[in-house]
Amino acid sequence: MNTSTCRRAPAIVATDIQRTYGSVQAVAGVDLEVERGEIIAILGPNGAGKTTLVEILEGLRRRTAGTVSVLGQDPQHGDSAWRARIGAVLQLGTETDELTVSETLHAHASYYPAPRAAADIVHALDLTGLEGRRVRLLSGGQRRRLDIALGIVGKPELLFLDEPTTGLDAEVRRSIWRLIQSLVDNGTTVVMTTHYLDEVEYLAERTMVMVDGAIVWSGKTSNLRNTSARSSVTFELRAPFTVSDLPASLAEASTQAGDRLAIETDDSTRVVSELMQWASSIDDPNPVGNLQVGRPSLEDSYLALLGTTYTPTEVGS
Amino acid sequence: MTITIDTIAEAGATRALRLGLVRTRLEMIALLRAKDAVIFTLALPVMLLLLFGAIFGDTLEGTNVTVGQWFTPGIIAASVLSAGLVNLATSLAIERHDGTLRRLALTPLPTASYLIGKIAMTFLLAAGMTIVLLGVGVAAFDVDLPTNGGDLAGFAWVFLLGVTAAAVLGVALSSLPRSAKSAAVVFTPPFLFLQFISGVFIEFSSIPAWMRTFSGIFPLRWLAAGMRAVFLPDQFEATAEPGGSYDLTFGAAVLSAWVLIGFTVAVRTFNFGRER
Repeated sequence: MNTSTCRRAPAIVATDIQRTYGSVQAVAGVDLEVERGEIIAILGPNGAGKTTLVEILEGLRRRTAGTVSVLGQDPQHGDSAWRARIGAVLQLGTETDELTVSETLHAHASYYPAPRAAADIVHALDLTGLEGRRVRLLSGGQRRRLDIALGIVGKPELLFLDEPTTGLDAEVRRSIWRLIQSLVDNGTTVVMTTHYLDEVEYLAERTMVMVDGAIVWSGKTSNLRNTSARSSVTFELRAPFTVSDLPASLAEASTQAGDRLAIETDDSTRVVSELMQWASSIDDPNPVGNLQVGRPSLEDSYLALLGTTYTPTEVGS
Repeated sequence: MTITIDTIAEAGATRALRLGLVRTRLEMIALLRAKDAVIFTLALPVMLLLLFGAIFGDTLEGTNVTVGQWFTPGIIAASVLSAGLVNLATSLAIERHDGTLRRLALTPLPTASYLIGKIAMTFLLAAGMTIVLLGVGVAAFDVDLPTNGGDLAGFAWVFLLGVTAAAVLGVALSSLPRSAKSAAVVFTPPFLFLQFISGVFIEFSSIPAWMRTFSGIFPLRWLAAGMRAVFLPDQFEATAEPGGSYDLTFGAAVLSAWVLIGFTVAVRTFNFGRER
């Protein structure tokens, strides 16, 4: 196989992946293409089918329909040489508790044909000083860092991370994010599942939102914020003006929120300019006060995608 | 990046064996560090042996063999088998459910290497229990250690065939428990039952004939007879065994059949939990 063509081919190409358990459809026709060197997040609530999808890509589970190629091979027929090119960090995955960090790391390294040096890994994952400690004595964060160390010790071209920072404190999460980012900077392709929005926003160039086994949204992560959830324009009307004084198009869209008015819209620019036109047409120096435009939060967009009722965020004071 | 990993250059069998040794070392370290588990695994048969020997002080009817002396080969046979059928099967079942196997399934480690480590651990455990029990048997009940070539050869084949059957059957049975929690209790009751009908706790010629026939299907009955043949005085065979014979040729055939069945099932079912 020509190495250079191999490098340019996408890391993952999959069409219509399906997986049913009895009458339950865990994965309901997912298409996926992941480029080399890219980091993609599969975001979704618990039970959305993320883990099943990733396990199909890893070759742990069979699919009931669809075609999948991971690093040029069907994972269902992945052999030892193929597995040497992928790495994985599972949600659940321990190694004999009685071994030390160093013993575990060296053993895993020996399974791979061209592993990273254990010393480099220990340094990169901030495990220095813990080499001689038994795995069962590690804290949750240390253990997770060891999990990740074991996932990358084989120098994988493609790394699967299944909820890499679930249950960890903010500082440890940050350090794991920086590490993942540095792996991507060095050319590793990463497929990550998560239900954390901040994780997606920090790490992933591209995001797929998975609900009930299907991808309901996919695109650049930066676009997720502006999807489906609407912005809100809020302002005060100074006495003696009331809603009824506004042009009909604005008055009809307004809702009273305390002593402020709020207008939800897909086009905040148009609403603001209409409001300003009206204000300048009035014989009063300042009929509109404290105007604010609220961008929907990532969470709003995400919840909107999940079909949960959208509640606008509090804007201004 | 200049690293190309097109094939794993090393020949498959050599690599599986080399990594098998890596795994064996890990299993040994882990076993020896889990001191509480090791101590209790060794203590249970020792305690049973001392208890039986102390409670039944007499010789067996029609022989000059004491109960302690008679019980030693039986409890050794049961311990050798339990190293695979109970300890190995439980450890595999736990690792199947706690995520250890899933993690290994995603590495290039060959399943054969993993199993080499587990089977080596089974041999170590069986050998350890045998040595400890023999020590107690010699010290407390005047058990005669084999000295002539025939007895030594007999011990060698009975032990090796027994522990091999135990190991392959342990692997084959390891997929039965449905959770890590149940693993610890699934294997013990059937094994206890087997010990009662196979002449480990109760003198074999004194249990009903139909039960003897039934137990003849399973490996423990033959393993126990094989150990008795090695450790008890020669006249015991004629006076106390059913039909006046250990029937060891037939016993070896039954044990070999179990090795074959266990191996076939193990190879077909054990794949690190990858769906195939």
